[in-house]
Amino acid sequence: MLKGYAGRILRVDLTNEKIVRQSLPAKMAQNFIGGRGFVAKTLFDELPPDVDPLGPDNIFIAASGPLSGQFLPASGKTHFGCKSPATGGYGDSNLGGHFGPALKYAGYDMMVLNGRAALPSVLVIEDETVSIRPARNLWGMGSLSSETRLKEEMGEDFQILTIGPAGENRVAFACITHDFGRQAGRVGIGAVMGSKNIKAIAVKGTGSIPVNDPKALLEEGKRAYRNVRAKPGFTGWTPEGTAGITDWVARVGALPTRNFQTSYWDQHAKINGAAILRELKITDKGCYCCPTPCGKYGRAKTGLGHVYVEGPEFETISLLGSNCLIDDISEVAYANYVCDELGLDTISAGVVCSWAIECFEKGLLSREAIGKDVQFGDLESVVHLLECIARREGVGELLADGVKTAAQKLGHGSEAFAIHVKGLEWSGYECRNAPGMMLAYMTSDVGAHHARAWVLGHDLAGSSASVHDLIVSEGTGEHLPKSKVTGRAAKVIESQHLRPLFDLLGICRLQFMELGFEVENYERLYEVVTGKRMTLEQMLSVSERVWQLTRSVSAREIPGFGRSWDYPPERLMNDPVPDGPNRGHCISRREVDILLDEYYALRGWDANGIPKAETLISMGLADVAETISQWACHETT
Amino acid sequence: MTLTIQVAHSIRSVVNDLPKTIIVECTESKTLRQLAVDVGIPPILIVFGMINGVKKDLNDIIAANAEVHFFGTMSGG
Repeated sequence: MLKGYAGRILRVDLTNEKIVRQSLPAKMAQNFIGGRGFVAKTLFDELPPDVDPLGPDNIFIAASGPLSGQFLPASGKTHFGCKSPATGGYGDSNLGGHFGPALKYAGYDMMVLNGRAALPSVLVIEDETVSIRPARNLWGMGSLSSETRLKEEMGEDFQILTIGPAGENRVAFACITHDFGRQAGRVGIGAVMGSKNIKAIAVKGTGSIPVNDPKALLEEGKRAYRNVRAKPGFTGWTPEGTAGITDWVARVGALPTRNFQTSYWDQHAKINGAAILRELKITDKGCYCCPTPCGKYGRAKTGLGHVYVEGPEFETISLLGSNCLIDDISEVAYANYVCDELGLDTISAGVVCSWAIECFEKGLLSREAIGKDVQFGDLESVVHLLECIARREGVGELLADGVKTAAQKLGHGSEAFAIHVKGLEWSGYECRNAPGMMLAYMTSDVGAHHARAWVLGHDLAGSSASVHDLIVSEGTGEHLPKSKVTGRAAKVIESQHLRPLFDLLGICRLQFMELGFEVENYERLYEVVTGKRMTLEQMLSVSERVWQLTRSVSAREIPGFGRSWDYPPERLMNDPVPDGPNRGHCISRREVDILLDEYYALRGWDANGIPKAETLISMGLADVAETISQWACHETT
Repeated sequence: MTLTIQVAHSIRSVVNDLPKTIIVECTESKTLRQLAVDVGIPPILIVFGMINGVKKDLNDIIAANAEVHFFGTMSGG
């Protein structure tokens, strides 16, 4: 029996209502660890050729890792995967909360859904009992409302995933919601769930997970909790959570503002972490076994209504706040709530709304097309667009497939300011003077997402030749020197292996990244749980293997995939930042190619960004290498 | 006066050769910002500082014999 794992995979054929349980292959656990690794391996092995991301043949995966559900800090992560409707390539997204542990306690490390239910349904997993129940009464209902209803009907012991109207209507940036405010937000995973007619998944697990050394785990768990709580960052970081970085991101000129027209906004203090504590917060909210509750549950009062909401976190603040010029934290929180209830990813939604508003300003979208005048800084405009998108009504039909597709359809130069990579909207850091972070966005395997690698600090350190006090954007008129473009790839790659490592283990990275809980601890925790020794270096090697595999999935699935798919939008290459600390800077197309050349060479990819056979073989992916000649990337588009 | 400075991993991973703990002797009062520059940390890399466990602005003056923490860049959720 595999220690640390439930040891089984649950497969549900929704079309034929057939349920199969299979053993988790030991080799899969050894070579891919769990979570994101299981997602990547399963997508490569099982996606049918040319599958429509929103068709019944796409697969929907939920997977935990060996540390998920254990008595360890923040061990509540669940990873989801599919062929992404946003990009057409590899897609994964994760959330905290309690779902993954519950799935493990029910006896499953991973769940794979195929086919499509005949009617809107709820998938219910209660230990050995798995059933598909009608959900007609829930269809059309919001994500949060659906979870409330199901909890009332089924009991608080069930951990529930829901989608909102956006998922039902297959919006390309529909998310999955859990625990009244935790989202697997990215890649359109909620649309895939909706395309399968699955409104909700409810899990109740009462079993246990075999552990190699329970006594040692108890001791190591206690030690880990003491260690985390003793970190100075515990008292400094936890009160505001991720929103606490808002001022800093503005100070260094990385805050997306007005659809990424600029990177600094002098109103940032109105929507920062302190504003949340002052105007919104009722209580902290944490995930499974988390000692550092970074979620902020509060009440937002606006002219459009009063709502209870978890958040906003930093990404939401930047995309629905500064990027839409909403300068009131209660209004940002209200837009956050609307997204949550409709089942929309707040990051993509913020980018799409700001693009639409800019199109209106430029006369590319008319009042008639949109249904009303819209403007930056206006909550009603944003909420109107969100409602249209989620229901695919009016202009929502154009916007619901994401900013890339919308811009391609609209044309007239709007592609230049559609801020995405590979079709996934850009998250909360403006990078025209952050070449490392730009490269991280460009090469992120799911599209423009910050969670794969985050090297903004290294960019800043590289911006100054000597240690000096850059009191930027504080009234002095000083600005940052241009950051060096060369030599960025190695650090990005290092980060792309380290950060997703936590996604393999099934544990939240914030304990390490934000609080400094030493990464070496995870070697010991992995051994105590699984009984197997794996050094940090070996774990990072697995993470690298997964990276090569996710790139291979996209290269196989996307016709013409290659270097051009890694390019940032024209605005970030051509338009120098107009003001703020990075005034005058941008990263030219030539510099973008320098970044990619260095990166591809270090990755062992060809000049078009496709993994070479020898690279894959050296990573233990000989089976993947054998298929290269059949990949869609070789097709002409 | 003696100041004990704790430097977060998020800063040490960016600025080479910085120890986790730095003890400095000062003859005059300093702000957090001045202290950071003195020990080789670009203030722009500091997201926030703490003096004796309390979050402070970088322009705040440090009391004698205080313990200072510098926290670096972090990503959002």
